[in-house]
Amino acid sequence: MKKAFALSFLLILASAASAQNWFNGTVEQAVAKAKSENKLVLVDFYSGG
Amino acid sequence: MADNGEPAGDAIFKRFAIGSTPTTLVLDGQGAEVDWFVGYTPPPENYQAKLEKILKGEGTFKAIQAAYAANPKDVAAIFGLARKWEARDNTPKAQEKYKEVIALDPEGKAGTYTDEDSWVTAPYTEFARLLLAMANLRSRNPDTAPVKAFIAQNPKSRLVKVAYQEMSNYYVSGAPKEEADRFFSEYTSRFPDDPAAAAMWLARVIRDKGPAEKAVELAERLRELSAVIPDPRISQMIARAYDLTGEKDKAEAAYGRTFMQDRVDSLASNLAAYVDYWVEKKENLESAVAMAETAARLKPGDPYYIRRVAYAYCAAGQEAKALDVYGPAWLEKDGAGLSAQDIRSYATFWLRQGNNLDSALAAAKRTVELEPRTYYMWTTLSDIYVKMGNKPEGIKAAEKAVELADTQSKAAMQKKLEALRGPTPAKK
Repeated sequence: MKKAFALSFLLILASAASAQNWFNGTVEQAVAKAKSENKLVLVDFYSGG
Repeated sequence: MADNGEPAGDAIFKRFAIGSTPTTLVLDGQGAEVDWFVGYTPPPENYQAKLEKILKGEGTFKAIQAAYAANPKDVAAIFGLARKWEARDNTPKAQEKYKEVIALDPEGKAGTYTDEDSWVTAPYTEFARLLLAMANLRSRNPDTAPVKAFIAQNPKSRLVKVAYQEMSNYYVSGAPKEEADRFFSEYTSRFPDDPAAAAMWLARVIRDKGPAEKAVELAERLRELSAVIPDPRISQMIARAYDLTGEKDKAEAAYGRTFMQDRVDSLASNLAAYVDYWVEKKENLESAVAMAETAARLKPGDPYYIRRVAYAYCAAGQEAKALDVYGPAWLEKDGAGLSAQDIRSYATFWLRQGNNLDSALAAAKRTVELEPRTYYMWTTLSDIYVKMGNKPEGIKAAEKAVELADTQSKAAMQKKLEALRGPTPAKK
């Protein structure tokens, strides 16, 4: 049986038009960075197999 | 990045109570949840549009929650929160909000909601009642009794049809045969014109491998109901019904080569209509180009679809690409197999674009060689000469058009010729 595993990514949403870079770190760090830059945090939960 | 199965990954799934994937969750600078959505439907632009809506703060969980905080009796906001929780698989929170909607507005007068799957519009309260009733419909041991009670208590609700459709998923595969027969008999007699009712019953009969007569009866009913807009999934079911009776020719007629070629032709034609719509509006041109290319792939070598591609390219400012696919080289390569009409369309296309006029003129000359007695071939030739500034030749061709025009068109052609013979307008 294929072992399913789930991943989550954090990324800061700068604006819809600009390039988006993956952010490496914890949720707290992402939130703090978002706060300092007045941005939102996108958390992407997905599954792979 | 954190994998589940590892402490950090498990923690983040647990912390945000993520029930299914893919889930996209957006947090603000305080770590509060702004909004979320579950699932992914291509193309990627759909995903981007959802994110843009969130960035604008439109209809987000945060915005609805703020509306609710400002007015805890705002039924629309409470219902909106329930839908958000339901999308997140948080059934207890969703149910709590549905109950709040019913308690605040038992008569269903506070407003309506439109379901984006069925496009049915009904009061928030009716939706809340049905959604609560459906809570155990998709569990391991589905309970249809609450949904049946909803139907009995709300016989005139527009949601009765949705209630039947939702229950039919269980009766197609889960319920015992006799129960399913009773259910589908009731469903189809209540909604005799609903193809979904007949299709779901047929799906059950096919699953049970009979009775064949019932399968054919339902297949014929379905064919009648879907005649205007044939649906390939329904046609496949009709073919499966005839498989049960062994009527191969009927299966072939319902779902054979001709059926699928018609669908392909119809899709190509729909794509071309889509291209025309957006090119006319000068919007959404990237998609118009992509769809024009798809249509041309569906109908290889068909000049009409190649022209749609060129049309979309020109609208998107990619004239060089338009000339590559539908320029002089195309005319040279495919010319021998083209009808005069196709060549005229090529000439007219470039005349309208005001580009590639030398080739358009050569094409128009060819049309009058191929069909020297057809007046409108001469009209096109005349129009191109005039566009290129060669009025004398334009007049000669227009005279030919007048000479050959049928009685219905003669006056118009004459008028056009006279306009050409009139004083030359001052050059800009």
